[in-house]
Amino acid sequence: MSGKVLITGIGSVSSIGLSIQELTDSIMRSATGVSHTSRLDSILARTLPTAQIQLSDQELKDLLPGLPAEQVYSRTALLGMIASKEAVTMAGLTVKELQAAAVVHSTSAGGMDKGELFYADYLTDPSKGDINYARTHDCGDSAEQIAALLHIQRYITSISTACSSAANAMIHAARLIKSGMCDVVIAGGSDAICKFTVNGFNSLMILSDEFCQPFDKNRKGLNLGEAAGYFVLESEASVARRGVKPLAVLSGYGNACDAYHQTASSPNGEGAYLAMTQAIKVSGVAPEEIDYINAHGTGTQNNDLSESVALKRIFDALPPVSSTKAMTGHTLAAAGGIEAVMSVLAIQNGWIFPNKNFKEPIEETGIIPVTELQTNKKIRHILSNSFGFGGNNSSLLISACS
Amino acid sequence: MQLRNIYINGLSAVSAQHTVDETFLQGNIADSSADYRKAIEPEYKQYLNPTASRRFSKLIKMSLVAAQKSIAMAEGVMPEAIITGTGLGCLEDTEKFLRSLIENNESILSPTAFIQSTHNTISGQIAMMITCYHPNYTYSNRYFSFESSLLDGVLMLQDNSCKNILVNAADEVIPVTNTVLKRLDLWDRGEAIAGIDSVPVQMGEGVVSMVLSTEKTASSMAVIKALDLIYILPEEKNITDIFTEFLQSSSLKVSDIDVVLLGMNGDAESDAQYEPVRTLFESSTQLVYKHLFGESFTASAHAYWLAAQALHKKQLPSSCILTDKGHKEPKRIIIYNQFRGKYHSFCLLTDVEI
Repeated sequence: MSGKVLITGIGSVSSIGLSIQELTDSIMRSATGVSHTSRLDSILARTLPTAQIQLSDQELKDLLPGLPAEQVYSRTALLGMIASKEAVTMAGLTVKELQAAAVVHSTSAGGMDKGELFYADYLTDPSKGDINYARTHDCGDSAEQIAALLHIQRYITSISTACSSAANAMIHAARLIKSGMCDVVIAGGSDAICKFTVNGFNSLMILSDEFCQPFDKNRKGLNLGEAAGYFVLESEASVARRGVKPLAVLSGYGNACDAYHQTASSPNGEGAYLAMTQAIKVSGVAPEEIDYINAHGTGTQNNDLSESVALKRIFDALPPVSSTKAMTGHTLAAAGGIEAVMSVLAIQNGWIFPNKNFKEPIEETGIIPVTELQTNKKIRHILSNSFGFGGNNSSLLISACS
Repeated sequence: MQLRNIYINGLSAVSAQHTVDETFLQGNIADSSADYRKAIEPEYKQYLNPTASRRFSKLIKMSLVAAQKSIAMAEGVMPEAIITGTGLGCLEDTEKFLRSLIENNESILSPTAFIQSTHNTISGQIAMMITCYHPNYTYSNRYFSFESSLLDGVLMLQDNSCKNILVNAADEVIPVTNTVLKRLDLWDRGEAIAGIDSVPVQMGEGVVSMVLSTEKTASSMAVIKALDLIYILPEEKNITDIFTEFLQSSSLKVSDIDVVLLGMNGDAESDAQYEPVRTLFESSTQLVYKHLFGESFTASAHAYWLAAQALHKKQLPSSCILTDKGHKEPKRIIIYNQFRGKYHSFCLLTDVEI
């Protein structure tokens, strides 16, 4: 139960890029993937701004040459496969090393994009509906597809804790490595946008009809997005054996429960406070050593106030903070994954990301996030927050290699 | 993986059998009257307030009751983590929201079903019921949904970061899944197979809740001594090699194992995979349970309930015996589950005095 958890590969696909290179280019332009263009056949998704990947499922499948033509993949599986493959390629793992590795996948929607198509037909007649669509419905299907693509055999699992899913996948992966059960774990999250989630969040009245404004006094809600963010996490022994150079360290993590309301955060941000405090404690890093906080910052009234209160409880002098959700949208289970990927890029490139669309601070807390891309910063430690439904709050601490 | 002793200090199950009142062990066997193994639900008003009883789906209610009972058995400890495994999640609310979305063409939707549809609702509601701010996880990955939860709990207890953890398994059947899974030819071998040693099995539902602890107490029922999960066996090894290594890591021989509890489910392709294991453990009493509890992504959790009860009460339920080698008071039980050669899970449970 010891040793560092090293990051040796990252991969991502989102509305601002189908690869780490494209994501990097988009960040340098402070681009946003939020738009009024909808690929998803949904009345609401055509009305409200979303951050969709503007490729069809077939076009996504074409990015992964060699897949069997007849196999049906959920969009969540395809996104996860693209991002995890990029991470594994970057890490330079052999098939033999991959066979002994684990996948810790995470998703909230799973194959609901196909499940909802199946069910609409099924409702007309229980013998109708493409049964191959139904097969992809559960969370485990996308994990199996990722494992099959990457030749993973040792162990696979999936976490589904709403918007904190990918962060929790990284935490489980860290425990697998620290316990010695696995040397290499491919961990992250993937979520495709679908009618079910768009309508669900709309029924909660937390979707903005404008571009989201995290931490702004006049914020109106969030913009949903879709993405996958994946990591290769590895033990020190494995990194030494393979002779590779790690990109960064997963130095701390915390998970706490707000135990307040199924969909709302508590006014004092207790769960967020506990998750961040725990992540900082595990890392051994002092709060004043943290150079940047990648906030959960969804742009909803409730989250941003609760998170701000929690941040002020922990930090006497708040480090630079921003939410990148105005660029990527809120990508639900994948959010913690893509934001942790961006955190690694921030460490590598000396960046602090812009919190786009911010104008005026929230009166109660007065937090002013970073609004323009900052470069040439020395970034050693980043706290990345992912808070979700069900009071599931998690924080990761990602550090530069010493 | 060799473990420090992990005690099961609280245990409760709501299942297709009489597990709430535990009369199943005395031979009170429920027949299957539905076309799946339907849970025998407890009297909710004994456990839940009227609002919760009215608002929550069957799955959430069963989970809240089982969690309450297992925590009470463990002297009311506040668990330092709540971890739930569910293969298909809160289906009743998922279907309710999806149906209204389709029927109302994406307009005028009530959020209640959506709020309660997410997989993490179960762990979240348990946390709210007992005001637990500690780590909260939900795993959902087919036949590892419960086992990943168990593994994560065990790993948290290994590093001394906590002493008591609540681990749950929960899955429900709704008419749609019943129909869909029949179309997929899964979990419904009630009539399909009648060969020797094969077990007629239907789809099933239920929840299991357990308090795992590093401390032995008056309520300790069994000890988890070893646990391993393997998705796909490595090419160079067969299941017999894996079991031999598993036993060696606990310094045990095949003959030390009194009982093996097998996840046979009447699926010919899947059950064939158990044959080498049955041969290896030919001197052990072999039990099956899915013919009574049903099959689901978390059905194996019921084997943990059975094994812990058998060790604690020093008796084996005769309705589960496949081959009897006379082990009346088992001390060591191995639970083994897999599905069509994937998702192998192995656990060694022993009497608390070992």
